[in-house]
Amino acid sequence: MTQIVVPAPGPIAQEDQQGAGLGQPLLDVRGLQVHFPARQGGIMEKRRVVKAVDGVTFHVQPGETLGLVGESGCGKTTTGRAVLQLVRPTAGQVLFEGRDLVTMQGEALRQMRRRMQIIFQDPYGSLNPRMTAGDIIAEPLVVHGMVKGRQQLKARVDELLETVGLSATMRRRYVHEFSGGQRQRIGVARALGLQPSLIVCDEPVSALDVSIQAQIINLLEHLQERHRIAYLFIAHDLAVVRHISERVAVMYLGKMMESADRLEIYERPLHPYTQALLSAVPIPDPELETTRERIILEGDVPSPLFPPPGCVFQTRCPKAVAQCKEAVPAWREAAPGHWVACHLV
Amino acid sequence: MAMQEAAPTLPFANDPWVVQAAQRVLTFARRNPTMALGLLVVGTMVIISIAAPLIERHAPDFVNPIDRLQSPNRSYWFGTDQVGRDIYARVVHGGRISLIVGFSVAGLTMAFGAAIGLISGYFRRADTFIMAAMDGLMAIPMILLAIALVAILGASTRNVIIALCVVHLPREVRLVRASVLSLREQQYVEAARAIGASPWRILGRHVFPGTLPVLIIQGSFTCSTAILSEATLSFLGAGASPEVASWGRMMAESTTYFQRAPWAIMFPGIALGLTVLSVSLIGDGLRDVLDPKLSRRT
Repeated sequence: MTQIVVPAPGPIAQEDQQGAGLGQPLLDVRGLQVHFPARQGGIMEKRRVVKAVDGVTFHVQPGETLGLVGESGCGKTTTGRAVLQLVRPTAGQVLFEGRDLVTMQGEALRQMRRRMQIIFQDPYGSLNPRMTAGDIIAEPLVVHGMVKGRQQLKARVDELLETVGLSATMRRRYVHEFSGGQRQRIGVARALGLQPSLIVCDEPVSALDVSIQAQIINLLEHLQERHRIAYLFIAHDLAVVRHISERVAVMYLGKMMESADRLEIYERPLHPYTQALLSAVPIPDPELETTRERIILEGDVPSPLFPPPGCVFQTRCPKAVAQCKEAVPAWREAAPGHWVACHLV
Repeated sequence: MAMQEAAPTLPFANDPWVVQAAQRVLTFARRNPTMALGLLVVGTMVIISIAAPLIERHAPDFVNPIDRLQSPNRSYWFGTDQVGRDIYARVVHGGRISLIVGFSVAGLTMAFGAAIGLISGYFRRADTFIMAAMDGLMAIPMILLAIALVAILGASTRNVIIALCVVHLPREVRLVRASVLSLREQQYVEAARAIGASPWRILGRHVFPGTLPVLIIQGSFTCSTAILSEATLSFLGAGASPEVASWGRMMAESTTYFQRAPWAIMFPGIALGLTVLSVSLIGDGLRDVLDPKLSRRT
């Protein structure tokens, strides 16, 4: 693999580094809400909203990986999109390099997109079938005027292809000529081209075979080391998250349940939901596996149209008490760096 | 087919490029026989229309009352009408109007339909107004609207084209908009937004190419209906100016004596039917070729 030549940081980049340098998080999300209008029932009925994300707070430090886990439909993908303003938040703040993206519009926001990118879950749908791999990777470079002239563009595209483990000769091929893993590499190359400081990885490996998953994870880790990219790593696979993340945040029904350092959360989960989630991970040792204690949650995730009162998890929580039905638990720091939303902790 | 047998006799038949091209044409014709037939007929019609002054035997407007209402014969291949004009010459010339109107209306509605449909489907605020206007146009019967427009604008080929464009535009817009609505939800469109592409770039590079199949297919059907509509307008007396030979007007003029001289209505009718059918065959063929589910990827 060839070395990526990182051009000298421009005035914007320098400014950003100074701003984000002294312990300030790269991404600081405060009270993020995304509500979708839901159409249902008769005209006379009161208009309801789906609270896909309801008051989520977290931060990502430069160069670190925050794993965001939760069941399907818990709002983790919407959170990732709202961070990038692909879905506009209903309320809350998204401070990226110290600037609030929620209030940004049009051109200012387009300029910010250079610094933050996304890798999608579906390597099939996220690449335009009418474009060649080279065109797809070149597009962000062209849009932001990152290269001058055709020669430089071609050289940069070839370099990116090789960085993600593809060959420069694949530039002319169409998307349907690639395998799933190769397509995901094209998606990574597209995101990488702008040299972002944050990449939202929206379940980047869950559509791939297990052996390919490992390759892509390794690639992502390798790129992070080399370019100091921060990842917001959205996944439902706890083993993958444990492997790649420095910190882990757990979501349930649009709300944050718990967040802490990786070791802390896997060794000492405080929230009953996290405990149940972690008890579902099989242990790769047959003897230990038989002694594993499983917490099986009753029932299904309630509809986000009709979230239960109090703690959203109270309907399925094995430890729920009367208080849980009445008051929404506060998001507080139970131990240094270990945040949790539960009355019982 | 004919081409295969004709090829070896031509002087450049051994040229490998010619052989290859001929083979490609034959393969295409074998795979899409109806489309090849349509293309052949429409191509012939275009050539005849262009070459009309060369292949006519009498001037199309030459009135010769002595020879009126003659049945087809050696001098007048398709017979003559009630004032003794040569029907063959008039059919050959009439194709010009039909084809010009058909192709211009198809081309213009495709261009405007694509632009308006893309904006309507992608920018939600414009959508309400544009679709209200389009629904309003569609609520009025096609032919009535076209007659009204020609009446306002005045009878000329250009105005017939304008009127038919207005009439056919809503259908094209609706189809393009519908495919934009599904394309805009594609993840690669979201990916384009994520890299910071401007809305116009997204429309041009990611959405528009996806609407092309629908656009082209609808365009070919617009072409055949426009040819028919032009004939209808001419038949009703709301077409191009009366001195221009057109199939619709020829048929209208011969209705009063068609029992006495059926050829006067038959030949323009056959020409019209053949043209519309061929254009429709091309449209059907295009649908098969452009449909990604039916296309044969080699």
